[in-house]
Amino acid sequence: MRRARRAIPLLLAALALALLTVPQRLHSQGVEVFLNVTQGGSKKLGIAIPEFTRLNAALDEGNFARNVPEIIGNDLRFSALFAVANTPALPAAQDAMRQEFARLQQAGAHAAMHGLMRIDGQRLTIEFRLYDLTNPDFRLIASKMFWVEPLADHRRLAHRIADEVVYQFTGERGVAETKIAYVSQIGPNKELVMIDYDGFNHTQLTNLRSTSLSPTWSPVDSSVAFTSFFKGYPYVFRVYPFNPRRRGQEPELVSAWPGINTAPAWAPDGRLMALTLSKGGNPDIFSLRVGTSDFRQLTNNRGIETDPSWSPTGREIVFTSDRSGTPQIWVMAAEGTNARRLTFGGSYDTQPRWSPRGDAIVFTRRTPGGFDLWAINPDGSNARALTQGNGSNEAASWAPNGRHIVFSSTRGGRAQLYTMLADGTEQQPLTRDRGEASSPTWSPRPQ
Amino acid sequence: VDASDFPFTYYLRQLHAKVSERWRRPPLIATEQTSAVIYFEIDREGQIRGEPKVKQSSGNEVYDQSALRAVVESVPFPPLPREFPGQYLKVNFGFDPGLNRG
Repeated sequence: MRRARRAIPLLLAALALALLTVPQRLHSQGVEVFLNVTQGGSKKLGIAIPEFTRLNAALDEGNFARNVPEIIGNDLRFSALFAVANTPALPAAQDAMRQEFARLQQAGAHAAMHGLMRIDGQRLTIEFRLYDLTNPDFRLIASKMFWVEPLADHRRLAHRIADEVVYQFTGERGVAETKIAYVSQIGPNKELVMIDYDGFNHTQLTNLRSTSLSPTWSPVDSSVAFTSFFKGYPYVFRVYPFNPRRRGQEPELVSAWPGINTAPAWAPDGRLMALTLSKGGNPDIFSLRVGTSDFRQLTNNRGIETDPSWSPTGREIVFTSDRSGTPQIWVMAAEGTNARRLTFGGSYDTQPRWSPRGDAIVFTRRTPGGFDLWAINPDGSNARALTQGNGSNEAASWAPNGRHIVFSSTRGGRAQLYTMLADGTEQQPLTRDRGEASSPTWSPRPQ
Repeated sequence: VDASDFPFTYYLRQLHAKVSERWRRPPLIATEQTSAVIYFEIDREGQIRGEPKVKQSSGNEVYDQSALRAVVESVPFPPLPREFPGQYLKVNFGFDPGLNRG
């Protein structure tokens, strides 16, 4: 009992009050705990990530023992759920290790990750062990083995471990293994480029020497649909970034109706696509069963109807319409019925994107100084600015967990990609390309 | 044998943070009323066993439902810690309007 009392860390004092004033009791049927809700944002979980312990004598030329924990640390910092300390390697002796855990706990860590690393030829293997530092017994929370081959893929291994850590502490996997595709100005052309979510591994996806626009990831098969003019007309195509057999091949045609074929948006099932066609004269939104000739007209107005984005249930579509005189954000049922106007506060609102959590829609609003990103609840309440007057900010795309947004901004001069949390905080640069970077689309988690 | 039956404070911290974050306190509810308690069971994978229940009603249906919804929307919870020997954890989560004033 004395030991337990001493162990309550100072930094946890406020929380401890909320948690520990309610007793934990053993009932004959099992363990029962008592908690009380409190107000205020959740505080970040402190986690220490020491340099990894090398289990064999192989030369660590890439200095993975230090670099992989740093990549994991950056992933966890980006998640905004953790306060991370990258620390020196743990001592090997049990007693010394416990002393180090106690020191880390005093410094504010609630948990520590111990990585044990082997290099066998081109294979890098890491066993990670998560320890609970909030109790002096330093119990094991989880352990798991990961490996990757070749060694050059060590960043992917680090991202997988980071996502597992997020899972162990939240119940939901992180987004460190995701990618972002976007439009990159390369010479006179606009090509598609793909990067890791943290900006590494820049890969050019198209080399069509034309203008390609509005890429969007399929939620189910790792393809990216986009509009391109390389056949002379704006048609919708798709590429498969992870399929080596399709590398260098011409993109697959998805929609080539007379007039424009733009703004593709996948339904959550990955089979239906909403897009804008002008086959009837002026631009309207249609839904297309991809790979078939089965399509349906969803809007039928004299104005311009475009920028569809599906709700995560697939039951509704948010879109831009100027049927009221100026471009505004509207919502309709996926069959095209029950259209209702969502935004009233601006004179020019476009590019709506429905959050994968379902509880918010982000959109672009024209302001006197350019464009800013706003969010609104799907019932039309709580419209709020996410960016404010720092260059033009537009073309938002949600991370699959609905916690992060990637967008393009001219705040640093020419358009580049930036990320922020869903509430507009923690805005930070993602790309520093020589040409303009625009129209980002955040991939789903790998299957 | 440890004095506490569930000594994983980090887990309670995470559970507490998640439910508190998801809870939308209904407006226009008097703060002097009693709190609601929601009871639920978390399995080893962090999923809820069966349905969460209103163990103690606040006396206000809307308030009880907001508490129930906060729990349901917080699923999945973190998986139970490796060294916890039980198959599931019983949780009594109190929603006290007085604690949430301001």
